[in-house]
Amino acid sequence: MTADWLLHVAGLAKRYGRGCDYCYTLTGLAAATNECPRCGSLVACAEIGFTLAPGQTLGIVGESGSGKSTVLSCLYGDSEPSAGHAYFRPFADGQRDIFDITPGERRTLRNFQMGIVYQHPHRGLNLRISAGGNVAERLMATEWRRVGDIRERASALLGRMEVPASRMDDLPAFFSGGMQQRVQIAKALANGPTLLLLDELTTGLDVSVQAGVLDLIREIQAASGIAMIIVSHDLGVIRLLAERTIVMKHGRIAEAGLTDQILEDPQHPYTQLLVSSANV
Amino acid sequence: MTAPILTVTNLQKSFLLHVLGGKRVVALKGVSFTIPQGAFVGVIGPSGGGKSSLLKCLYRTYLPTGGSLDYLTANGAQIDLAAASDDAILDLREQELGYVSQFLRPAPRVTAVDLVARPLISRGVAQPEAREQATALLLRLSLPADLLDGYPVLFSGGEQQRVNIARALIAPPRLLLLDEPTSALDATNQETVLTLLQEIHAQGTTIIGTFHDLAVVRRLTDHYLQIRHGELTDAGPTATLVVAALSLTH
Repeated sequence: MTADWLLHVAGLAKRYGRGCDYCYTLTGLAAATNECPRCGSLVACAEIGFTLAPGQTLGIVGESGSGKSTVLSCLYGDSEPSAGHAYFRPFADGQRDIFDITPGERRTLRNFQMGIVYQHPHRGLNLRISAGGNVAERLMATEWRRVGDIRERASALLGRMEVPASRMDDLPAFFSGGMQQRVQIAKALANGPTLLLLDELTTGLDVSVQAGVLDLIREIQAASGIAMIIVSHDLGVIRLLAERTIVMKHGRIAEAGLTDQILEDPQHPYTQLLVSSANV
Repeated sequence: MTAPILTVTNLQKSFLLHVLGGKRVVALKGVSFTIPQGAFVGVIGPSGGGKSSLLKCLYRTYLPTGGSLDYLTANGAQIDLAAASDDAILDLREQELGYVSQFLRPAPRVTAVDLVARPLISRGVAQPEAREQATALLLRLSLPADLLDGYPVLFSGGEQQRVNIARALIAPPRLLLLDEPTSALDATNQETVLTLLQEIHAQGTTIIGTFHDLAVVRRLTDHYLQIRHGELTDAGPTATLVVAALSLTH
């Protein structure tokens, strides 16, 4: 009944290995494994479904290996899903299954509609070109042509992310971890996407640096109305940023709900364990 | 007579605690009542009796185990708060449902003024105007002026509670849920908060609040509900509470 949605994912599965007929039935929450006992294939995720409203932030939590990053990488097209659909509204003026598009369409999608920030900056950045160059590269993939304009826009974006103008021409390889994440965020936002994917963006950063990056994300949420999917193992990050949360375990959704409900009234045994183990 | 804003039918809430070996804790055992539009309802009863659980079920911080919570929206639609989608609940929270808890943890690294101004900004008020209104409200709640640009995380319990109240009252919701809103306040501040509540009630907000102080209930509310051991044991117009209170030997 809800008015509209931006992204609708149904039946997403990703399997690594040769696969057999039993992979999906012999793995998951009840089986307490994501490795098929018959053929040894890894079911990174399966039966993943959710809907994301425009401007909404969805959190995906779970331990390492629960499949949460796989969901993002299938959506962004870094991995090829084994099954499922993902209908994305703004793409090609209508709803399109982004699991079923050509490489050219995928490029357009990435250039105009979707940004991603990886846990490891080297995946999202070219560390051998300048910070400004990284953002410019992204801009030039779309309609930006004039060098002066591109430089100005890149500088403005980096400035918003609190990367000083004096560092714009430096190589991000020599930046601190927090600063690298800021450059990644600037790059991901360069073309004004409708959906931003964030994969463990503060994992590995010092607590005070984490705080700065999280505050930046919150400012972006307040200012731009961009939708986000935030993958994190940290319930504190989810609590701070996400309105709705999915809890994953053994490649499946253990539980989904409003973030405050997940934290205060967790239903699934795993979520109860997760919440009672955390300090949020 | 207008339709009630809220019709609660056989609301049940229990917690199945897997981490405690499958222990089941029952909070509400089938509670039913209706709330007229524009009412100010006081929920009374002993601690641990289910008052907070009731409010949290209405806000969907708790998932009800059974029963229905039929809410009449501003545009006349009926929504069962127990069964509505997460998105529908988020929309309601944004538009017409407010909640103040005694323990709400403020967002870190946001100043008191910005925290209170936010609901206004999300309703389209310009930032300088919203900050001005937030400042005025916080000062009215006698938050020290030098704390306005401080982080509420670092405030005392009473100061945090006033920030929470200001945040909930700055853009009065259509239905306001209050969980012991004055528990950490001294007499003067409690008085200010109670006056504010009367003001927004007079402007049309329906309020359901838990209060441990029966004098407050008598002064503010027009109806009361008594919840004990997870059951609704008494309800009626507050005018009759004097007698009822005598039987309230906790």
